[in-house]
Amino acid sequence: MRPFAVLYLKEFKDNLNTVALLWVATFAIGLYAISQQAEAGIWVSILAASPYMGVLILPFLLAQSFASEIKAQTNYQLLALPIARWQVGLSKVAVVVTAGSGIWLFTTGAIHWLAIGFDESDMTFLQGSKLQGIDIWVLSGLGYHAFALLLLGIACVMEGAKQYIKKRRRLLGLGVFVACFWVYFKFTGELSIDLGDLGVYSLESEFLHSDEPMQAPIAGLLYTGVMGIGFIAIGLGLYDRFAEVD
Amino acid sequence: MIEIENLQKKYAGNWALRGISLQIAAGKVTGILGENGSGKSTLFKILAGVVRPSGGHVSIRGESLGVNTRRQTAYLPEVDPFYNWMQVGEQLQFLASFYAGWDWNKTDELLQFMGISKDVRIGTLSKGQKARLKVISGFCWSNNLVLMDEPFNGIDPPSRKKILQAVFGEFRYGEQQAIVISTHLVSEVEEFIDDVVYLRDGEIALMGSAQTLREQRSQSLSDIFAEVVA
Repeated sequence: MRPFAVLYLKEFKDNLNTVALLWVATFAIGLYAISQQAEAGIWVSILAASPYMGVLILPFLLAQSFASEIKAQTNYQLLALPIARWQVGLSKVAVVVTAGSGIWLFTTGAIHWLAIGFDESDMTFLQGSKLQGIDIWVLSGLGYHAFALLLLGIACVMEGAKQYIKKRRRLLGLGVFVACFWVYFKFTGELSIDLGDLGVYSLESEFLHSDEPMQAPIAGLLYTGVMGIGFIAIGLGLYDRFAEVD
Repeated sequence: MIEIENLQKKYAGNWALRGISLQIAAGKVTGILGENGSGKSTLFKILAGVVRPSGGHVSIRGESLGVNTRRQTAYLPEVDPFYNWMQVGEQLQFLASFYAGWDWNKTDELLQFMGISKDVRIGTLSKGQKARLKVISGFCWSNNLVLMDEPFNGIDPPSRKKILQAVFGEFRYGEQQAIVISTHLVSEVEEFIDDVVYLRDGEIALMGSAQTLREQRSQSLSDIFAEVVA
């Protein structure tokens, strides 16, 4: 097996309890929402979509993954391995993305199920729309993963910066957090416009308040995802260069 | 084999190594002796590539520190670096995925010799057993350099005996493998050490061939340790 695959499997097993807890909780919320579909109306849709907020947990999961290696002193073993250190960091990011994708998968599955149910019963789903399954999967998938990548990217830069500067780590983390968001928002307008031609998705869904076929602008989501990948690359680069045991 | 030139390391304003220079020969056992805080562990960490030096240069078989030197170095740190949730076999399999020339026959022999089962969870092992596992992880593949940082720290005498038998007995790899060992228990390893380096406050206080030093000073390495370092 290739070293990265070995690291990924190790990392997945290391975080198995947390990942399983997140997935089971998400699945349970989805099942509960589906079981309550007939009675609870729009609140069921909101309940079913609530695990999307789990995207906010992902950077903490990543930070915890790095911190636990230091606490358990297993970083002595990891950093002595004959591989580039960015692979160690990337395996951690990949496992957190896997955990997040599972949350997205179960949540979107539940919403899809609910949308089909509403369609058959002639009820409407959020905002009076007849949502089509493909739109639900495409838009939620793009949005969720774009923000997941952005948040994980910022967490990666924070981790890399902590390896470089070992003093006042909380202040440093806050500074990196602010700086990353400043960079993100500084270029949001300009680059999203440039990406505008690429970033349009034609919706299949029908909207009761509109007879026209609708398009969703997704350039902002693409920009967010690309920035996230850029931040991940910077963070892993810093980790690769400066990671060491205490 | 290992060339160290003016090696320095500074932690938060304090010098751990103040520019040491030495050579470590292939096929020999080199003892790095010194009190706590003398810079022994820092030297090992730098050689293992898990800490960056603040200055100076190190090369192992002509290569600067990096992935290639880590590929030929077994680092047995003072701490227990294993994943407690893994089984012994799983941990060794994990390491074997990264190091070429892993010898599973030798692994089985060493596990048997050390009295450790592959199916046991690492979290349930005693400190002595974990120390033995560290030795197994360093001697199951054909590396050129084994770095053993305080392998006997807090270890019971039976485990110490097992480790000494394994490292300096039948399980040592080939003529070219260099072993660098640091310990407070100088008398335990005295008979096995070829070269010795005494460190004090991040500097070399004395170094040379163990045999020559013993003859010149008419003292054991332990006595020299007490005189030079302590």
